[in-house]
Amino acid sequence: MKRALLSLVLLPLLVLPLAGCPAASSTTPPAALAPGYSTALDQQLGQTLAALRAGDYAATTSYLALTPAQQAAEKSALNNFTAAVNTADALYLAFHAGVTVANPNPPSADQVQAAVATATSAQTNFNATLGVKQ
Amino acid sequence: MLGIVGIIQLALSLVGGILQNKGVITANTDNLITQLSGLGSGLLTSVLANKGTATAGISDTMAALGTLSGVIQTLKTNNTNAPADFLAYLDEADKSVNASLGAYVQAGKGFDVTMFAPVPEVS
Repeated sequence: MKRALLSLVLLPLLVLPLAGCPAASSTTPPAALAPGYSTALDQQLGQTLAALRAGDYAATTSYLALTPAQQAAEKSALNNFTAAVNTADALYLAFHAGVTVANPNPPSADQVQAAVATATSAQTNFNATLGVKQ
Repeated sequence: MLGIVGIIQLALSLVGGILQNKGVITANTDNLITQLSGLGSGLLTSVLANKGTATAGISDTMAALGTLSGVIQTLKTNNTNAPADFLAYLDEADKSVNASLGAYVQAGKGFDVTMFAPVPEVS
């Protein structure tokens, strides 16, 4: 079932590059933004953080089923990962919202990207604990 | 692309962990282990080859992770007598990989603020 779903997901990814082939003399048009995003960078950051957050949430759910020894091996790295993801998500949401009355100085894209890099690094550290089980 | 890199790192970590546990899972999965070993290096090769071409990198990675998910399911089915911590490890990695992939695709369909809700820390 999962493989079938993944195949459905993969199909448009494999087809889109062909459908978007430009004429020889034209430039490739930029991909259309998904609804709700303001720029390509906004969407890229949103997709990246959604993936990080979902992986983190799944890991925290799975954590409850682990043995005490496994939990001890993972707890610190998992909480560091969670804290980094939550920080990056908060920054991203403020960046995504842009200038508002409540937040006249939203974070810059560089600030969000730095937070994403920190979260990715924390994820790498957490992943390393997954192999330490025996 | 950082999210995809993280997913790849998780997949490679998974492959490494399975190889580490080769001595505790049943002998008839040797072929699967060989597949996993190739898949890990294949993923890395794909990412390096597609550096700078985001779409190709994503589709290659997702295809490889789709295969990985199938292999994980087979390992879980064939190794019900394996140590509980090893099976829990497979479950954890499998769920995390699939959740990340699903969220990446879902977020690509449109912005949804609920996908960024804070995750509670474990106690």
